[in-house]
Amino acid sequence: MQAKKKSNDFKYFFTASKGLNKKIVCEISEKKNEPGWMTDFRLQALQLFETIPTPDWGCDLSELDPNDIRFYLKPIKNQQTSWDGVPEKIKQTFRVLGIPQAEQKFLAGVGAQYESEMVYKKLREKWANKGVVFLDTTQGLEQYPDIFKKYFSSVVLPSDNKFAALNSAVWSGGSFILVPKGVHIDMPLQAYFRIDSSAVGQFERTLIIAEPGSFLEYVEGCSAPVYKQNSLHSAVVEIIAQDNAKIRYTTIQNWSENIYNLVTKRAVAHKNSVVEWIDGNFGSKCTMKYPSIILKGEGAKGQIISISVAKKGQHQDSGGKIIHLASNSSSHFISRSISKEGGRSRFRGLIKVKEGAHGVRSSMRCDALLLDDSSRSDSYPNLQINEADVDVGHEAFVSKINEEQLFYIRSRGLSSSKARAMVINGFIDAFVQKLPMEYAIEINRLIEVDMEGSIV
Amino acid sequence: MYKPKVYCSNGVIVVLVQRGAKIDKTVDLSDLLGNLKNKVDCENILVIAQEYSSVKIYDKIGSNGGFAVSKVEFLVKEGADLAFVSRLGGYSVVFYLEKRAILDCFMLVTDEACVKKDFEIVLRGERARAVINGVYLVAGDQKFFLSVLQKHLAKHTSSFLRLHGVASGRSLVDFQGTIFVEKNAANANAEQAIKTLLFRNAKVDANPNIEILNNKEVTAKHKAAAGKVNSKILFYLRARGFTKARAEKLLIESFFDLFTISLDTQIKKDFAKRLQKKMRRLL
Repeated sequence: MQAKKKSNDFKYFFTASKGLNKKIVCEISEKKNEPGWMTDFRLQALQLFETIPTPDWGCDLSELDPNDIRFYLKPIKNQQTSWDGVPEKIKQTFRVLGIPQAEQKFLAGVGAQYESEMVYKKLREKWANKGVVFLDTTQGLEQYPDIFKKYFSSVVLPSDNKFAALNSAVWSGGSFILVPKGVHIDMPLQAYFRIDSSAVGQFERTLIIAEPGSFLEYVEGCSAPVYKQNSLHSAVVEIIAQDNAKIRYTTIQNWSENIYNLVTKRAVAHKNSVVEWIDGNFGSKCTMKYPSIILKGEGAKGQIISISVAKKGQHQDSGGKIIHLASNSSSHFISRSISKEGGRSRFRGLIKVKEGAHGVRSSMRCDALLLDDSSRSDSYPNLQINEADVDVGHEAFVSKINEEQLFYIRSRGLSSSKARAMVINGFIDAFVQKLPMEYAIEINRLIEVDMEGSIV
Repeated sequence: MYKPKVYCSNGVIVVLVQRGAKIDKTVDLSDLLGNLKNKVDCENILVIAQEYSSVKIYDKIGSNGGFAVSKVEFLVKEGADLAFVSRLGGYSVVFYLEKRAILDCFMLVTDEACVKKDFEIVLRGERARAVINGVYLVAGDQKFFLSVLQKHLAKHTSSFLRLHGVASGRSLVDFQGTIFVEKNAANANAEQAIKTLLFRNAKVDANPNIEILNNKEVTAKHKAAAGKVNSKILFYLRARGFTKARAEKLLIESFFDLFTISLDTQIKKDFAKRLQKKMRRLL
């Protein structure tokens, strides 16, 4: 449990005034020394943000006031490639989160974003020598302008939804990753996002391009201390998996209970490529996140494994979308949600098979556990099949904890709370199995601590 | 034999099955309403099965012409047992089930026109139980819109919806299903399953939703599947000399058998005739 903080006493290099207007957008663009087309793109997106209505479904967003939020906070002048250059206060925050330690042990590269900017980013030499690019998105724009312009906003348009438009207008930070043809990065790359101030917005923009035959595993973590005022995290992630490439994108979101987490994530999978979204939502006041995969090339595969835990005062509106545009593409979708202490979890899933996509195979399964009488769980799956030559299925199950399983475990000498934690760990096993070992252990522990004494 | 009382009240045709009455033979609703047909101008029908009564109703309204209603409501009172077999006319259907009431419903859609149906099952009495099975065949440019709401308002209630269908040609099946469990409906058990076999350019849009308000003693399931006939079984049959069309027909029949097997012989014959007719067009 994070302790309530009054304020953050860290001195920022630059702090934008509260609210959102053209001036702020131009200021962000200017600070980043961006080309004209990007400034125009941002301003057009701002216009869209102002015209697209706030969604009236999902979470209650009525308390979210853009005029109360700072849209850009730059902590330090220049990004560092060594932890020694990072100010002690920020370094300490990430040390507590175990980022430098993990970097040394099992990561191919690490990026650490503090408020609006990446303060640290480093890729192991081995991978840099093989041509892997792992940069802050702003640096990506500076150093690879042509590739950047070609792929940026090619998967998520600003007009996609209100918060994609907002991100497009004020984006800052995030990762730009380019994995060259045939390169297999056998260790995960990690980015960690931290909001440490009250009433701010974090709008990272991540662009990942996996060239033909390459492999990448990307892990993203998020956290923040608790404040009275609400903050906003609205990211956009775009992934392009070219022919035969494989990308696994893992998110472990553990925002504090004053954060609105409104994120747009989408991937395009070309011929015979594989895209996996492994999505864990444990924190935030409200999450609206539906990672999507567009299976564009023949034989492309997609998988979404989503887990969400909704506790007191939390609304987890999560799920995903898989769109089959090509023949012989296949997908698998598993969602598990747990609601307790009055929390609300909602699943929204879509499997769409377009005309002309023959031989598609797809399955969607969403299960929910309700741990007490005051919680709520909803499930809204949607199958849209426009081709007869397919095999698509969906299953959902909402229930309480299985008493028989509990009895079995308890009869073997384990305490009631331990038995419940074991059943819940089993419930989310599909998610945990896909995580790197170190994270899996951590998640199991998190669930165990979280569940202790909470189940009646 | 006991006959339910039929009368008209405030623009509603009321069919009343008295307390404790047991009607073993299936009652044809259009026969019951025959006398009222030309006399009154009613938009709704209300069927009341009084406490501990038992009745089987077969309905052809809306499809036999001349007598169109917009809504048929069923009030199944405490301990009553209602079996309702419907060819689905052009109206919406609402069932209200009170304490320990039992509903056994079967629907068949073989009509040629576009069909839009709203079904609502309100389980408002403790231990009420509803089973709804259905079969549909849509072909050509036909569109079939079906919306089913299973509303659990009381404890220990259960409802099961199972639909099997075949869509061919350029037809569309649009299913909107919702399982809703109210805060106090502890130990509710609900299920929705829809399975569609697709041929040619048919389309399916299935939305089986679950909404559960604040309750831990609930089990709710839904399943939706769409696909072609099992190619391995098709191959097996063809290897034994069946033509493709004949093999497909056999598979479709077995796909429907699960539901039609428990129907009354006469109704079963009637449905089989309709199914055969439609299937000839379909394949």
